[in-house]
Amino acid sequence: MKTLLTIIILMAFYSTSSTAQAGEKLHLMKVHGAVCASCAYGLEKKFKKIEGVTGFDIDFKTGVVSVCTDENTYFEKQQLTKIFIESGYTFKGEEIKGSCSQIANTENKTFKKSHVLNLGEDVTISGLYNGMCEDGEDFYFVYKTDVLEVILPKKGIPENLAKGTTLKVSGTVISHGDEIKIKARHIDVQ
Amino acid sequence: MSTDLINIENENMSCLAAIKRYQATKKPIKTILCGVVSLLLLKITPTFAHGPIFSPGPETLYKDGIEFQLDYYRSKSARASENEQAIGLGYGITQDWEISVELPYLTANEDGSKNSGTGNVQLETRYRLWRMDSFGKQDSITGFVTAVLDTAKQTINPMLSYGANDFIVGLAYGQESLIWQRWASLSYRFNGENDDGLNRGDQLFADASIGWRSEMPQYYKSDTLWMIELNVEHSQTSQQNNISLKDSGGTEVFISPGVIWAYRNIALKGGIQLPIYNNLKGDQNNADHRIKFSIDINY
Repeated sequence: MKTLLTIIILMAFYSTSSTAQAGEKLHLMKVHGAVCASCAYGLEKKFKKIEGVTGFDIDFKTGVVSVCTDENTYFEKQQLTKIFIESGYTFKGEEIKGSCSQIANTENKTFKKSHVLNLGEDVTISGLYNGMCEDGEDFYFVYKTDVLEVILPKKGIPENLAKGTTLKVSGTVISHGDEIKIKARHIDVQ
Repeated sequence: MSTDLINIENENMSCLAAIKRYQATKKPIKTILCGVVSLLLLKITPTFAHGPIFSPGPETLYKDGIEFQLDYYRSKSARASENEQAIGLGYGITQDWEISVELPYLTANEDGSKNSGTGNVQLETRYRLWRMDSFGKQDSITGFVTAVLDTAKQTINPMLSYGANDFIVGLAYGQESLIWQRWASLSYRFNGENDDGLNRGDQLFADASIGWRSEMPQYYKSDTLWMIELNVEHSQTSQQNNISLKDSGGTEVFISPGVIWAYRNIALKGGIQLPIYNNLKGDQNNADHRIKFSIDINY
């Protein structure tokens, strides 16, 4: 985090594509046995029947089910175990981690559904340029509730770029723990 | 049991001889066994959204899940062809126990004659006997029983049904992971005896399949799975009034490439069965190919 401490955040994006709302909560659940989308549809169906659930996704590679809820929605362990059993899977534990801004809509997901960013995944995010900070050859910006950083190549930012300009950044997710980092490959000034 | 419909004099009377005898006597007849009709025997259990195309897989619907399926099936041999369109409906009573029904409509062609009508309704119940979940993998074994009810339009030339109820029992095993899928199944079809004393030979099916996808599945992206199946079908000799019919029974082996394209709760499946070995007894038509397409929607 030394790097981050040296960074003065000069640039921030307000995503034009996020569905995240204030007060939303992200539930991450470990699942065993989930291997295909068409088989896992039962999980989505059962979670979306619950009042307060606003988003659903599964990362098959990491075996993590992500459920977005309003801040007042909690799941009992027994309730989660039942949902997973009735869907034909094994529930391995839940963690409430961060906010639903971790489920960020991206342009290559057509803005239709919330989506958990995966390591190595290519994403495109549009947002408003609000200044930048320098750390060696790279720049960072923080997105929303301090959970998403985008690393921009120095040469990618035009000089004297006015704040409020819309940028479209294409890049690769290089970290998706507490903080999501995206290394940008291409920047378009809109 | 009527014994005057076909007076079979020779123990090994052929299908062709039986037809000629029938045409000569002009007596009403419901059952004549011949190669083309054996095509109808080959249809087995319904497919499922994520499993092999020409053989049963271990998948069961989630609890309270509903599966709607449209099937197109075509079977072709040298002298005959059969087309079937079917509507299937499944329901998950529990995550391990599913019931389903399939309603087919058949069109059969044989030597220039054509016939069409409703086929035999199939009822199936399947129960997952064992399941082992691990990270990115699921192993399971499912047992199933299928009843093929004698509900088809009772006509001949060519016939759409034998006029008997059949039952299929079987076991299906699957090991599904993020990239590779492996399935195997063994099933036995008990073919019933009809009012005319025709007892088609029971059948044994053995299947093995491998599926592969080129990239990790993502929930909000389409998923394409390529498959190849090996299907072995062995039929026992049929009997008419306890007399063996020589043009019946034998073994056929197929290799069956196929593909599943799925997006969340919608799956499109298609495949073709190509014969690679046959040892059918007497004068029977070998299958040229069989094709199957289906659309599955889960809700």
